[in-house]
Amino acid sequence: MNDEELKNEAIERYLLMEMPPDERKSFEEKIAQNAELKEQVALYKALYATDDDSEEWITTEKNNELLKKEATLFRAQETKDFSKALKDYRAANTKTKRSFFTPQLWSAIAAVIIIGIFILYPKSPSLSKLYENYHNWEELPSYVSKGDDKALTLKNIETTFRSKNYQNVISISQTLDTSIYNTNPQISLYIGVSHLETNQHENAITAFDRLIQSNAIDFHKGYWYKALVFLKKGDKENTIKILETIVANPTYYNYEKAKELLDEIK
Amino acid sequence: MNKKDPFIDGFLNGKPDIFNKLYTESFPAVQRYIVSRGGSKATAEDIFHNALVILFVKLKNEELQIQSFKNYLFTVCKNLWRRECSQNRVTNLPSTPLIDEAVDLAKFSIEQKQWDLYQEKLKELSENCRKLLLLSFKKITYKEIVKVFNYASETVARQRVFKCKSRLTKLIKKDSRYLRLKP
Repeated sequence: MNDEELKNEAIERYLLMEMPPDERKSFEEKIAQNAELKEQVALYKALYATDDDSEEWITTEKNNELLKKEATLFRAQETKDFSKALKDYRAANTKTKRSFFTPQLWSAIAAVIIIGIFILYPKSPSLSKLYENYHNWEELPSYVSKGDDKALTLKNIETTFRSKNYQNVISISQTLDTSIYNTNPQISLYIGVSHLETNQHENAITAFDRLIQSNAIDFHKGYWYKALVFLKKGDKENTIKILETIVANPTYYNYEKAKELLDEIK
Repeated sequence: MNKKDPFIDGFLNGKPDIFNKLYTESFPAVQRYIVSRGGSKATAEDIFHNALVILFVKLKNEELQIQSFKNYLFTVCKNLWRRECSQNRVTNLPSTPLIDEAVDLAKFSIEQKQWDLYQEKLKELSENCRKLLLLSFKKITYKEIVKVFNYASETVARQRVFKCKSRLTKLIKKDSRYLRLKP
């Protein structure tokens, strides 16, 4: 393979989450230092968005001039008039119709179907259902009781997180000095979960990998939360893989829960 | 599509019979698509509305090279939904449009143009390359690709995908409409 092919292969493995954490970390450092590579990674990632079933979407770099020009078209009076005409049409044509199928009847039908499903398929909980049952953000470490100056940022992140402003947590995290990941590695949990809550799965994995790679005494919490990312994504194979790592280490966080979840998935 | 086409002309002039056709013929498929992926009916309504506004702006201000209005409308709705999912945003349509809404639609419109550019360039590739890349973008493993294309080995499959991908990225980057992306 020539250099270009090797680079291509590395980008693919990076985007498909096939790199082990240490290689991923060093690749991300390379991306940060190399504009050409950064552009190539972004374009490859965007190409996945051409697939209809992809979760990816394109994010262009900030281009104020272009955005201003485009926004002018959406602010134009004719666009506003069109939007209003469309809304008026819709409002006039979506009156509630009386139907033989009353809400009560629908409820009864739904109840019969649900009961039927439970009787017929009692042992096959979906991954999304399991995710709902197993994720619990109340278990995240609290910074509120700490009193030093640095703790103010951490407290800010925690408070923002607890009020479910996940996008704001991500914005704050982007302004953090990276040294905080050495002094307070657990902060990656808040950042990772915020990415998870906003369906930015790859970023969530990066954050949890950062904790796994850290010197934190509870670095292994990263595995549990990483498993939750795959679980939410519906990626059974990787969920099992991560859970097996936890189950092989009885001192790891949520060892019992991991065993239980593994049984339920398998 | 031609602006003189009676359907496009009626759409641009906000004719109720055209809106009626759109809501009876196109909206149900969009709603089914979104609701089956966990979205609400209200979200489907908002997305459909926004897609129509985006198409209005496009048709008014540029030459839109599309074969079918209906298909393109569905594509825009799907992409708005994917963007919504990837950013986990709630679409709200206030009764009077706010500045932010115009900026948000403008941002999407720019992204959609990039998406259209990728599709256009994909079509410029050979059929074989295009098929290969579509599988690769679906994240199908090389093992599977070997089977589908009857290649001698995974190494051959990798090399072919690499060549096609390089060809595609060159075509995209060479185009003056290409914008740098955020990784």
